[in-house]
Amino acid sequence: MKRLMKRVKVWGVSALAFCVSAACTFFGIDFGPPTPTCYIPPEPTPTPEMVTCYEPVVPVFKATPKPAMPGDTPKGAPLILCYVMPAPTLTPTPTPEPEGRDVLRGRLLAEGRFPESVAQEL
Amino acid sequence: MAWREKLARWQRQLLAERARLTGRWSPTTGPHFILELTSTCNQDCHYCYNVWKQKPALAETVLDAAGWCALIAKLQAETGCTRLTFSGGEPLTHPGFGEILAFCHARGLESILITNGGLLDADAVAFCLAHGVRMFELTLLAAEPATHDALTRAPGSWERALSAMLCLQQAEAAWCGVFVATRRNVQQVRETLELLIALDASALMFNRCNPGGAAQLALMPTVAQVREALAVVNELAARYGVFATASIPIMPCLIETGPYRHVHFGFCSAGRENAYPTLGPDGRVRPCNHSATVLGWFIAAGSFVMGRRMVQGLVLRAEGSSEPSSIEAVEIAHCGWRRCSPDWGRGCSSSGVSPGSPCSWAW
Repeated sequence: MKRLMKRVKVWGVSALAFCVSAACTFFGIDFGPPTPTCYIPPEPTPTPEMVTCYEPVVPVFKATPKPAMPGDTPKGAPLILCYVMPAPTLTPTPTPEPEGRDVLRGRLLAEGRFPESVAQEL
Repeated sequence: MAWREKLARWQRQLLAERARLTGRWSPTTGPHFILELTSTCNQDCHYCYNVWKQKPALAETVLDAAGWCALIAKLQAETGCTRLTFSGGEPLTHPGFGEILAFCHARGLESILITNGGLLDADAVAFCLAHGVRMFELTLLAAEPATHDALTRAPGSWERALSAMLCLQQAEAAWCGVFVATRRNVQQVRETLELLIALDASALMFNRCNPGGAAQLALMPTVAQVREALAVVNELAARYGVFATASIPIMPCLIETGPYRHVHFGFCSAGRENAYPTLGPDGRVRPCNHSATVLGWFIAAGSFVMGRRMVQGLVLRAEGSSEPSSIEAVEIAHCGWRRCSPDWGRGCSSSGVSPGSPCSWAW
């Protein structure tokens, strides 16, 4: 009986998931994988400058005051909620010529970069 | 747009529920747990993020081998997990490490071992490989011993780490070389990563120092330093065809990540399908290894039920506890910020609540 109930539950959940997926397809929502594990950076665009604002939530936690560091805004200055996203100034670095690890290992050995105990084994 | 998000969330919950019921887990989505086997360590790193450095009560007791085995059996039975990560402290200092690893292997569990390498000799490597360790994570902080040993406060640790890496190379094991960038060593990122690559590291991990545990804000590298270091990581990853990742969140509002095309940027996974809840030395569960938030005390002797939403890392319910803990709510409440953009993941809010530390997003 327990196994039957579980199978019914699996069937029900699967059917529901299918219905929701169908509804998503109908409404043109493409979810893809649930949540990307890595941030995939967008292509640099020629947008000159863009101001984006954070949306602060109702404060439920009083942040610890940030210790003053070089380059910081003066103590007591209001918390900046907006930042200026600069126009992409960096272009993707060109892919360098591939170099074998053996070549690198040889160079580091020649330069004496490994401790003696390791160098002897390499 | 709210209904779209609601629909998407509902779909994810349904799919996760189906996975839980059928026991068919996606190998990429977990469940994946980190087990901090012990709080004991043979190093005393300045940058250590272990939560008990600030809250010693979290590591007052340490489960013995039998305790861990019982807990692992329970985890496997109730969540169907197939992979575990062993961490610490230094996991190899746990007197029952071999027994625990053999137990996991006998139950078909694969594992990842995070170690400083100080106790990882050829025999230990061979034992680990024979008992299901699929990946080793070792840290190298500098290209010369003085800086590394000063950061670990353990004389000789640089040479021991390199010796361990040599053992892994000779055993042709898969291992990830980790560089923790602090203000004191970030200048050596190129030379250090070259050593890791030359010793056949399978992957590189560039982690900016995260305030928390013993790590203080003064150790944090500047944004400019991290930007320059990332350029080096990117270049070396491309040149040697090695997988490189920046696991500790680096928010795109601080550093334009676009140019670093060979570096994968990770964000906080707590509350996500790919979350890695962490069990501390006494068996208490936290959202991740950086967070000091305790979700429940699931000692082996007790009975616990992972709520259905545990699949997604949203809610974890301890039997007998009055209220389920919402990881997501905790994360947001601690940080006080919504994530900056729908396209970005979250920063590390755990470090944001560390004493003396601002939210790392403002870093």
